[in-house]
Amino acid sequence: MMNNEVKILEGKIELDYKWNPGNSVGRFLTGLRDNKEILGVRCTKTSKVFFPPQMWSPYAQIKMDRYIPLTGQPRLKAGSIVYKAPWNLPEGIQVPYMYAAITFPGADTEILHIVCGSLDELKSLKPEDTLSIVWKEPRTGTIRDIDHFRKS
Amino acid sequence: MANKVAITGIGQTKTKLKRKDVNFPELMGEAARQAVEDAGLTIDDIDCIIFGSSPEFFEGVNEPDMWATDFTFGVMKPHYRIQTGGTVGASTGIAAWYMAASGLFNNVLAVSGDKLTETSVQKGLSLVYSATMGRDFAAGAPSAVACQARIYMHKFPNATEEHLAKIGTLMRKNALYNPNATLKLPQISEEMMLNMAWLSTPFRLLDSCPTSDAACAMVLQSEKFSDKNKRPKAWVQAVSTVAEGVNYPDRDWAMPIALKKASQTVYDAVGITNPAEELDIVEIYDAFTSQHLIWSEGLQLCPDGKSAQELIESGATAMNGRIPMNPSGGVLSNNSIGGSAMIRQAEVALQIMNRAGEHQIPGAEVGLAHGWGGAIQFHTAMILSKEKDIQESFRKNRERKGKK
Repeated sequence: MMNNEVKILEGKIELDYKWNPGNSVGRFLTGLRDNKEILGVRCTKTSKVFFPPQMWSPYAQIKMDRYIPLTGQPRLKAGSIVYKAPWNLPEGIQVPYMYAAITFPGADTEILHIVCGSLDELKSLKPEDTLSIVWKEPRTGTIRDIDHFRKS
Repeated sequence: MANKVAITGIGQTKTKLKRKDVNFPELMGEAARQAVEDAGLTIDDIDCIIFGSSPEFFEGVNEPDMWATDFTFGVMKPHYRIQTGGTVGASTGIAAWYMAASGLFNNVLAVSGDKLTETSVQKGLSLVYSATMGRDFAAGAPSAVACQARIYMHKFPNATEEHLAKIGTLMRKNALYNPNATLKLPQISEEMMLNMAWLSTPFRLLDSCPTSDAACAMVLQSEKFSDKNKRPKAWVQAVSTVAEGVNYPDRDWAMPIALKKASQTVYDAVGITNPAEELDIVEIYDAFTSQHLIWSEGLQLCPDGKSAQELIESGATAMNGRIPMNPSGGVLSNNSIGGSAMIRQAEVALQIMNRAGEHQIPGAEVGLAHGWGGAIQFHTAMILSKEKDIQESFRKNRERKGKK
């Protein structure tokens, strides 16, 4: 009987990527970076507004390029308070925070992002409560240019 | 018209969270060999293999099926890999059914599984989120499903954290009767569930599934070969897989339209109009407790928003209830992802074959197996019955229930 039998081989995979967001998401990220602009895109057949924007309307089966800025105050649709830090805890964020589905007036889809604040604030948040955006500085053209949302 | 197909052999790898004694292909081979032996067949009888495993990051090997062919009888045979996230096991079983039902293959082996304990599962799960949009905030699976639970509980405030505790307790109690469940908690109670540390509200630690190393395999035979096989069998009567978008207008997280459509498709195919009455056993993909409520409404086992009261409080889904759900202990008691959705099909088949042992539901004639994968997105349904003609199974059920 071997006492020191090989039972585990350790390893790690590291790969570098250069992802193309595509024109729609690219335009959205550029808007965030350059103008703090929140862009949606309207399907001209169904009138539905997709946010974040995407190139293809899955129900009308048409290309979408009617971009519209969403200027209203975002609202909480639903959120879960995260107590256990995930491996990819966003930089500068601490647990507990809220992982949340957030809607913007005029958009028919929601975005998944995070809401920060004291635990009491997070606990007091209810669906439909208004939120405000905390922007990141400097902005670099990623979804994290919206650093987080907070109770308004 | 598709050929009739029956499941005649089942294999499930032996119970243990971590299988340090085998590597991934060996684990898959273990389930595959068991299923072929269980069907009373030999490797030579198998003419096609459908192989399922979830995203490559879990195994850390791109194209894991290439590595596994020696072990899953793929040498010199058609060997196809399926990957549909959480539903992969169900999709693999369904793809095997397509093969046998097509008449082009007669004896098909389906094998699906994963070895989840060799890496950080939540890292792998976070990598299924969009690289340009969602991944920065992805906290594995629990937080997204917790949002789904929150949306459901906001829409239907009659569903509470106490119901989630009841569900978690029931599943872990069921698991004690299933030798293949990997999470065994004899001391489980609602109080224990409610005293666990928060994971992501409304989920505490035990509202979530464990991570396991497990594989499942099934042999599906076309009618002519099933008829010749005198072993117990379960006839696959209808299958459906339906996808919905990942973020589409007016999405209702609390009522997945894909699941409603998948269930309606299989019910229509066999003439089920009152599933809670006509199904004897249901196995659902319950990676989290809240999904019992949402999936059972998607499967139309009760009106929308009523599952907490009509199915959970009433005890209807307990092993001795009127619509037993996951007597196996469910995904909440064993989750390898790759194996999980096939185990739902295999467990319903075992019930119908009257081979489920200590967790057998007496007289199970007709059952449904569900699978969930993607975001809230992919759903599968399969209806199985004891009789080749499902109407005969329905008739036996009516007779039995009439006598009561």
